[in-house]
Amino acid sequence: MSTWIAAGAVIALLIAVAFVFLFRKLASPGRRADLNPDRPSDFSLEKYRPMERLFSQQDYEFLSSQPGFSPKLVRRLRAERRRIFRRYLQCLSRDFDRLYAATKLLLLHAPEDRPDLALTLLRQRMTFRYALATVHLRLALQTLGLGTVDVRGLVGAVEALRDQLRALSAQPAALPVYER
Amino acid sequence: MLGLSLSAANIIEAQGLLRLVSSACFAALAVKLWRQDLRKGYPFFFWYVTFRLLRAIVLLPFPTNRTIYGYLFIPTELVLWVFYVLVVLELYRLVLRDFKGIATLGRWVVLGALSLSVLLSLLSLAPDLSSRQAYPILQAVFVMGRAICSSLAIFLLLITAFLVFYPVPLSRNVIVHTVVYAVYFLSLTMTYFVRNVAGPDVVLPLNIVLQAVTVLTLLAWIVLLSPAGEQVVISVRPRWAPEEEQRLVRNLDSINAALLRAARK
Repeated sequence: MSTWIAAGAVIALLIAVAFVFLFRKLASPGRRADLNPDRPSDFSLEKYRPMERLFSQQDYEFLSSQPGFSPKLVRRLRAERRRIFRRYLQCLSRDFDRLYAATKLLLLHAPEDRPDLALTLLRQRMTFRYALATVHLRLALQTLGLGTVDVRGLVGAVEALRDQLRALSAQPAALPVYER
Repeated sequence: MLGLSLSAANIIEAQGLLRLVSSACFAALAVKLWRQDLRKGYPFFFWYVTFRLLRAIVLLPFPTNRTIYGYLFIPTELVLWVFYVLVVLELYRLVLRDFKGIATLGRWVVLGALSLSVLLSLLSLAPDLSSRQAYPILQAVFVMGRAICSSLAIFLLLITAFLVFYPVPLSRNVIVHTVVYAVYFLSLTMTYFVRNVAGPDVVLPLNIVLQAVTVLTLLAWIVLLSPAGEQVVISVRPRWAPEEEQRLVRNLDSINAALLRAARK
């Protein structure tokens, strides 16, 4: 009996913690930003440019032709570039989330029912999370010397994202009070 | 022995006092909803509070260990469960009704969350059903009560997660309702659960705890609900053209495609 009650108390506590977490999120400034997404002032395409070159074979070929070259140096350089690449992925993830938030807002205020857009958005998010996880996995495999990561085309995609964010920021966002 | 009976007498006295206080709080809340016109926004909630007030007045003269109390308690408890479901569904109908864009999505989410919460709740009933008690009808009522309240607690959790994920503008009153319902249904679930597993010996202290939680939730409603809390701040944006939407989706697509390419190479 006491085991059941202890187990019940633990589950209730977990649910209570989940509620507290969600209520904090509901009241968080991040959610308020979602309701009225401001464009990121620090958004710059240029910051993604070096991403394409991070795993370029040319750099390593050049390095190997230099005096004092050692495999250890290459390993250290690759490790350092993986760390930088992961930072870029974090930024990309943030920018994706901003665009995603803007699209959710579009769906929310759509004049008619849009289950198709809701499904598309859900698929987009799942695909992005899956692709991101796979890229992280490939980075981990690269640490073991297996394969590489090719990000050509990614910067082009981010460029389109930047344009979209700019277009959205040009639209006025008044904040009237709406009363039921 | 004397100490034990004294503490039992104290508990009964405290219970009687809390029943009085909670009845007064139900009355105060009903008056507040009526006077501040909040009953129009939440009609089921208003009728729930009124029903609880009437029930409390009818039950007040009878000690909880009398048969007559049981005869009045069980049928009114069944009505209360219906009210619990109605007030929770009313809240989310209000939240989602102004957003045509997510009408179908909202229905899917509510239906999915309801199905999942009922399923999880039913799956968790094994310990409640395994204990044998002297009054099978009472036990059945409490097991059903536990199933309904835990379903509602899980449902609230899932819907709150949806509201966090989708930036649906919420009024302060809706947030107050959600928090108070969560506290109340979670407490009610635990009370039913302990009662079902431990048997009738723990009823007195459990009733005290439940009455105390009820009074606190009523005070929260009385203090925090207000006509000003009905206002929702939303951003008004011009209607976006279909091309705009297609571009947004295409851009998300292209990022995904590029990432997937990077993942496959």
